Amino acid sequence: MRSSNSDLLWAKIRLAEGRLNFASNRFWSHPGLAELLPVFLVQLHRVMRGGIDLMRVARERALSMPDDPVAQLIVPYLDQHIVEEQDHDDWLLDDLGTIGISPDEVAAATPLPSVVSLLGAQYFWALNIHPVTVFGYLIVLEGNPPLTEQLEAIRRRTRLPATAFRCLIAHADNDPHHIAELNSTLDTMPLTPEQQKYLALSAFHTIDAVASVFEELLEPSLSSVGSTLDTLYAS
Amino acid sequence: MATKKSAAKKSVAKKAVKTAAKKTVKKSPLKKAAKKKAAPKKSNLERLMAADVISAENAGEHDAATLNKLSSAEVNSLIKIRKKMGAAPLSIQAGSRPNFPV
Repeated sequence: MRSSNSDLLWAKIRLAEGRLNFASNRFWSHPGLAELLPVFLVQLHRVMRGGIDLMRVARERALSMPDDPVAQLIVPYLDQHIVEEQDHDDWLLDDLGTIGISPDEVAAATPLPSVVSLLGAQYFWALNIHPVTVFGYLIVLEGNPPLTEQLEAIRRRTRLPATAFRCLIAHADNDPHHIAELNSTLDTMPLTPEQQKYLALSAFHTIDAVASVFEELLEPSLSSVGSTLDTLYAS
Repeated sequence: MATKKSAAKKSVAKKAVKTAAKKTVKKSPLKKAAKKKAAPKKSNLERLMAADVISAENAGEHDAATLNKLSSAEVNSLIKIRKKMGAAPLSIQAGSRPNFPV
């Protein structure tokens, strides 16, 4: 029996996800997590805001392909998903405000090279290959949602205020629903072998780039106690 | 007659050049070495196992037909990703993973 598009993509993701799990586990179990977490949230804000722009670009590109059956299925999905995600960066900005990081400071923070790579590659694929590649990015990011109990344990360990976790907790509640929609939308698409290949390459790049974000956050120049945020703003 | 003779000479000369070229090709040590080194093409599953993307114990968990349909770009990308993990074990489960929710 032929595998569905999403089954095939997930089978490929399983081959690479060890890299993300390894880097992610190292970050979330780091003894200096209380200092690292605000910087993580600042970078996460970059990804959230950049992700909305990316989806808009992919939608526009899909709209410009009226004879492409896959592109025609991408447009309504992204129309809906952009609306679902559009205020999340503001929620995160509010959360950051409760731990003393102002919107100006968030805007002044330099995006990590891995964050630029994470999003930048997606623009290339969406504009130069096919906008369906953005599904490789979305499935990896939405496919491993945080668990509320994990976030609660991290909050207790870092002693950061609960208000710093509101946006993350909202994703713990919503992302399982989002991934089901992503999978079912992907399964309706008449993907070519070439498109399946690029979807996988997009997912692999996303895994690698997110793992690199965690690694960069743990680099000595960024993780020295007390200077984490200063370094980010100065760089 | 003179024309026939010169045509025959030309033909002999051509044959000599061809033979010399063949001999040169046969004698080339580079080509011989390349022929010796040419190994049978590995399957994707073999490449992924050799690079420790898939361990021998877990090979049965993966659908060989699906793996062997992967493009070389996908296989290369998986091998690069595995290399970045260094000696870390393959079967790392997500522990406390609130990753990048977008």
